[in-house]
Order: sequence, then C-alpha cells, then structure tokens
Amino acid sequence: MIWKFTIRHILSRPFSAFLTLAAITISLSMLGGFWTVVENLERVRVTSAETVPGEGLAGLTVFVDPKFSSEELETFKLELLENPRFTAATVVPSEQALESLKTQFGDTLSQVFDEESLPVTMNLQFASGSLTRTEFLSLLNDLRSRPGVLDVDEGLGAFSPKETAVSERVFSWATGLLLLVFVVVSLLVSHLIRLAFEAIRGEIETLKILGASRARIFAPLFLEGMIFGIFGGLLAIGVVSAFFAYLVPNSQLFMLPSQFEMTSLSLTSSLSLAGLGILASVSGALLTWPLIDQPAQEL
Amino acid sequence: MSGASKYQTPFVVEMKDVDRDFVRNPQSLLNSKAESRDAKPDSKLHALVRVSLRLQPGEFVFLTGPSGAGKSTLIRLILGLDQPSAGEIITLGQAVHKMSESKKRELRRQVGIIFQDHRLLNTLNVYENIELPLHFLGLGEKERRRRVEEILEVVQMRGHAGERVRSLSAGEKQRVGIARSLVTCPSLIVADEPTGNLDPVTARSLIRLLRELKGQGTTVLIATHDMSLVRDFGGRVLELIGGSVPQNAAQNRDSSAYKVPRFWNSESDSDAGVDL
Repeated sequence: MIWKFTIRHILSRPFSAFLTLAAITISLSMLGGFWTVVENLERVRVTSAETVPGEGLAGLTVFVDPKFSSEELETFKLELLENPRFTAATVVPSEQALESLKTQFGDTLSQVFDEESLPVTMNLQFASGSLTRTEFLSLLNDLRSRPGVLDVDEGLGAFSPKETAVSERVFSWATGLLLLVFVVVSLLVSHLIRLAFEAIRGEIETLKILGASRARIFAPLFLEGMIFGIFGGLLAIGVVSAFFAYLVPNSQLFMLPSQFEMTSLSLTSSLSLAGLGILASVSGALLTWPLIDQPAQEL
Repeated sequence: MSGASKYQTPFVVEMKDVDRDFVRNPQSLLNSKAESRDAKPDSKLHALVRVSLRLQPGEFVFLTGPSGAGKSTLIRLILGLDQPSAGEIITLGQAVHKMSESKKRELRRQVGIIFQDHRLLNTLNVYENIELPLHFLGLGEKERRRRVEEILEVVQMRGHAGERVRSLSAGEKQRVGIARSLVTCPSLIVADEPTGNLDPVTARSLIRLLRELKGQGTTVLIATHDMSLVRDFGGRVLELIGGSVPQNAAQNRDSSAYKVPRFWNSESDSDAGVDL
C-alpha cells in the first residue's frame, strides 16, 4: 500500500517530479564536480618514472634491520611485492648507501655507521597510478609496522617547502568550500522535497482526519524522498563521471598541464555522493514532520 | 492517559457546557472601535456558548442552522479536530477534550466521516479509496476485500471499483465518500453538509442510504442547512442558532440578550432550550 501510494504520487505529477529530480541531479552534480577537483588535489601521485617535482613520486626507501640474513631479506622483499602497488624492490649496495648518506647529511652522520651497522637500504618502486592521502599514509604505516623495518623515507622532500605550503593552503580552502557546497546542496534538496510535499498537503490533511497514524502518513513521503535521493545521486554520479572522463580531457577545460591526469570520482566518493543525495532528500522529508505532527487543519 | 479519558456513558456523543472561542483578527477589532467608541471591543468571537447535547445509539440526527451558526465547529469538536475553550466532550466513551493527538486519530478511525467535498484521494482508484480506512485499522487483505466489495454493492458502485475518482460525477464521488465512511462499520457517522454539492435527487438518495443505517444501530449526525431534507426525512433535529455573539459588547451587556445556541427536538416536539 505504501509503495503503491508513493509511486502513484510521483506519477500523478510527472512534470513536478521531473523538475525535482533534475534539480537534485544538477545540485549533486555540482557538488560532485567540486568534490572531484578536491579529491584530485588530495591525491598522492605515484609513478614508475623518475621522480619529477610536482608530477609524482617514484618510490619509497625502506631501511631494514642489518641483522636480517639474506634469506630473511629475500622473504621480506617477496612479501612487499605481494602488494600490487609496488613493481620492484631493490637492495642498494652498502657502499652506494653510505655514499648517499654522505651526500645527504655530510660526514658526521655517515661516520656513525659502518658496513655492519648500516641498515639495509631498499628502494620500492611504485606502479603508476594515484593514491588518496589516506591510502598513502596507511601504506606507510603498514610498512613501518612490519618487523625489521627501522624507517621508511617517503621522499616528499622532493617538493620544495613553498610548493608544499601552497598545496596545503589550496587543499584547506578547497575543503572549506566543499563543506559550504555540501551545506548549500543539502538545504536546496531538502527544500525541493519539502515543496513537492506541500503539493499534497490537502491529502495529508484528509489522511489525518480519517485517523491515519503519523507513521502511516510519513512513510510514503519518506519513500518518495529516498527515491528522489537515490535516482538524483545515481544520475549525478553519471553526469560527473561523463564530465571528467570525456569533456575535461577533450576540451582542456581547466587548462591542465598535459602530464596531469584528472581522475574521475573514486568509488568511495561516488557512493558518498549518492549517500548525500539520499541524506539530503530524507532530511527534506523529515522537514515535513511538523506538518504531519500538527492536528488536522480543516474539515 | 487513555485509561483516564475513558467514560462509562450510554451516549454515543455527550457534550457538557461546551464553549468555543476564537481570537478575532486585529482588523475586525479596529472596525469595532470605529463603530462604537465607548464600547470596549471583545477580542474573542464566541462560536459556541455553553452547548450541551447527547446522541443516543442508533439515532438519526440533523444538525441545522444558518451559515456561521457553528455547525462545523461543533462537528470538529466531536471529532477531536478542535479543542473546546471550556466544557467536556465525550465521543464513543472517550473524553476528546483531554486526549492526545494520537489518541484522537485512533478515535477518528472508529468514526465514519463524510465531507461536503468528499475528500477522496485522486491518486487512488475507487476501490483503494474505500479500502483506505481499513488499512488504518490494520485489517488483513482478505477481510479488506470482503468489506470493500460488500460496501460497493451497498452504494451501487461495484462497476466503478477500478476507476479513478477524477472520472466520477459529483454524486458518484459522494457515494464513494459514504462507502469509505461505512466500510469500517462505525457506530457513529458524522457528515458535514454531505449534500451541499449535489442535485436534489442525488442528495435524497444519499440521505436515504444513511437513514437506512438507523436500523443497524449506527448513530448518524448530519449537518445541513437544507431544511427540505430535514422536513422530508424527519428524525431528530438539533438547531443551532447564532452560535457566535460578542460577549462583552456594550449593546449586549444584558445576558438575557445573548443568542445562546438552542436545540430542539422535532420528534418530541419540545423546545428544550440549551440542554437536551
């Protein structure tokens, strides 16, 4: 009965339903587009090529306990390579590692180590792609927590302090704007749903007079909100994906450098966008609760 | 809460000294000042003043009176759609004036309500509109189908079960409205101007239908200002006269000048005044 009631309501005012759905889709698409840009800013680009500042990170340097036997080291390498993000793990010869220490930190630090106490230096090479910041940090934590690992150098020193500062500032502004857009979209969608419900106010009052419980009146409105939210969210994901998969690369819309590959919204973010659509629509439905809760207005 | 509001009463509806006041709008107060400078305008509009009435099981009652006499207000109070300013209202043994909103909704499920504009849901067909109150009562599908089919026969609308209500005539819509009010087998049916939008022939056939329920022990209260219906169908008549008067207006200081709602019973031919 509730489903039938809901579907009939939507179908009984197709134009209004279409406009509501279109408005929800457009709002969520705008949010999704912005979200994609923020997500791309947040990504840590990794590349199998040599590290070039601003273009990606070639690999990580892992410092391993020098007491590891060669068999243990080989097993450790194989374990690391089980992770598809890595393509190769190479042990740096101790002379070369000492030389590198000297270049980086000067004689004082390099003299602390001899060949016996010098940690085994292993270069881990990334497969090309991109990771979110969270994924990257979790990867580092995983490596650091492995037995025998003394330290992991992520090599972010490749970026200059100025570049890092600008990047962080842009990211924090983008996050703030994202939150603002989120609030605006939620309010907009909620208001649209509320307007759609105002159209059936007369029916709601009749149901109240006939003795329908609050839950029975609210259930179809809630379902209607869910339907608008789900379809609006799915359509928005489609619009955003199409926009970033076809329109941006073909039109150079953001005048991005040719090496900069704009990645479309991740699965997690897409699901979050759909979730937001549902949340906003359901909160719109919840805004009708005071209407349902108050006594019947007329006879 | 519900236990406290239960009353042992032989009456289907009982009202004791019920008042219903409304706050006047500011513009009418200004007009009132302009008309009589010495008089202190009353900020309240007295829609009902000390109204008492009792409806017995199986009674067929007309509630009459001119427009604005307070008929709809009285019906709203009986159904718990409005709150009295003073007095007690007991409908189907429950003190409506003390009940929570959810309890009032529960009460209205046990009352058949017929509206002037039938208030059918356009998104549902005839069958589904009639079935609606049975959903509220939580009846199973089989029982719902049995009752709806039975009532469709009674109102002679069986052939229209699958039709959308938009395509029905005014008379047919009102038949569906009546079927919706009867389908729950209520012990009280309340109708507010049910024939207001109908031609005389259809109006009479509908009132005849409601009149037949008297034999089944159902109390029927019909608010109408169509005195020809009242004359033709008889039954008990409650006349509500001038339900609202400014209580403190200078020209009405003498309480004997108040037009207090008055009820009379045409069957017993008595002029019983306020109480019945």
